[in-house]
Amino acid sequence: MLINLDKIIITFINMILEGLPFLLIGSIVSAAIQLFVTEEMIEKVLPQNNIISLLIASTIGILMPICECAIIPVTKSLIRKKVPIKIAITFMLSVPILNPIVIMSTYYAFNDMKIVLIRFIGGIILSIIIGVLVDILVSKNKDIVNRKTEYSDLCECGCLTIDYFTRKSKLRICLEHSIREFLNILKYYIYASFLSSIFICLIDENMLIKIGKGKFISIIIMMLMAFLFSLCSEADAFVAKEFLKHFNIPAISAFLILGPMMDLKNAVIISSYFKKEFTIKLIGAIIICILSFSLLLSAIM
Amino acid sequence: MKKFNVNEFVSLLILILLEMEIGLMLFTRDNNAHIELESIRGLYIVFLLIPILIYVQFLKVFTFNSRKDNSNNFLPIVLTLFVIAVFLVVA
Repeated sequence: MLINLDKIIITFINMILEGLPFLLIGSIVSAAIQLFVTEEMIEKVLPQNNIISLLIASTIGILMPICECAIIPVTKSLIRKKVPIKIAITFMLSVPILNPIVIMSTYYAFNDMKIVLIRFIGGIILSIIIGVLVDILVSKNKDIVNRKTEYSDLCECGCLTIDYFTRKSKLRICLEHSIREFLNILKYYIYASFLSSIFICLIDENMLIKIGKGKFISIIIMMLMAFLFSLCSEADAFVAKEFLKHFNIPAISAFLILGPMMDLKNAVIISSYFKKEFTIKLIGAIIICILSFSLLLSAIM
Repeated sequence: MKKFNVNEFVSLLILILLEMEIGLMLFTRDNNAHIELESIRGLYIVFLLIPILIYVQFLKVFTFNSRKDNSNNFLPIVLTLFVIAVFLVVA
């Protein structure tokens, strides 16, 4: 098979450029949470009732126009600040789907409220179910953050020691941490984008369309494409619309829900930020839940 | 006692290079038809934010040297910036 190197490089560069603003904003927000938000503040803000907390975590994305690349460092900071895992995971999975830009782009792409509602409501329900499921699965070991990629415990940037002498402002320390977080996540984003761009250029979509005729197989094929293509949640609806000619709505909904929750790019970043065992459980839970949801949808429709 | 911190200096160079490449992309965008318009819009935010980070990073260059070798961490970023630079020159 002839590899088109130009196409791979252009796809790779476009993926990096597309993600850069979100990575930068996510890093700044993550550093700000680390520095300005205390565990006591979170305890005060989070409702005592778990159901209300989960509902808030699953719908707060409507107010946050950020996509999946930015939300992972933010989630890691929230977990470090002792936010319950189920709430942090629900928040991480729902924000990229409920993001207002994603809702609008889905509507513009399909011009069909049914698909928007399936994506929107499916995103809320599935993020809560997966959040709770993952929380149960990791109940024995709640320490899920990968300490190897953590810079803040033994701060290599030296802000803790140097701050003792120079008395830096909190804003400056926040920006210094943002730079570290940004360069740290950028490295993993580069690995993931490179892998995804290779897959995008190697996979023959027409062949997949030919294979994906049955109900079950079509859902699996669309989920595979969502995972490997690692499209930004703000643009994936336009790609999904092209597949509507060949696949049914349940398969399209699997593509639209899985992409923002878990793709190759996210999997690499999550596995670098969280422990491997947790990452495997999370990916497994997401795949099983979305597959079940799409099969249920296919039985109803 | 302040020293020259090589790791922080490399981080500073990366940020400066990134800013230069984004600036070049934004101001010569007519020549870069391969880059998607959606990406260009978001890059304005990066272009405005990075100078602040460059200033903060510059202040960190003259600090104590970390004992940890970070050269491997920077390698993928430096290679990517190199690929983008080559792409900009060729395109």
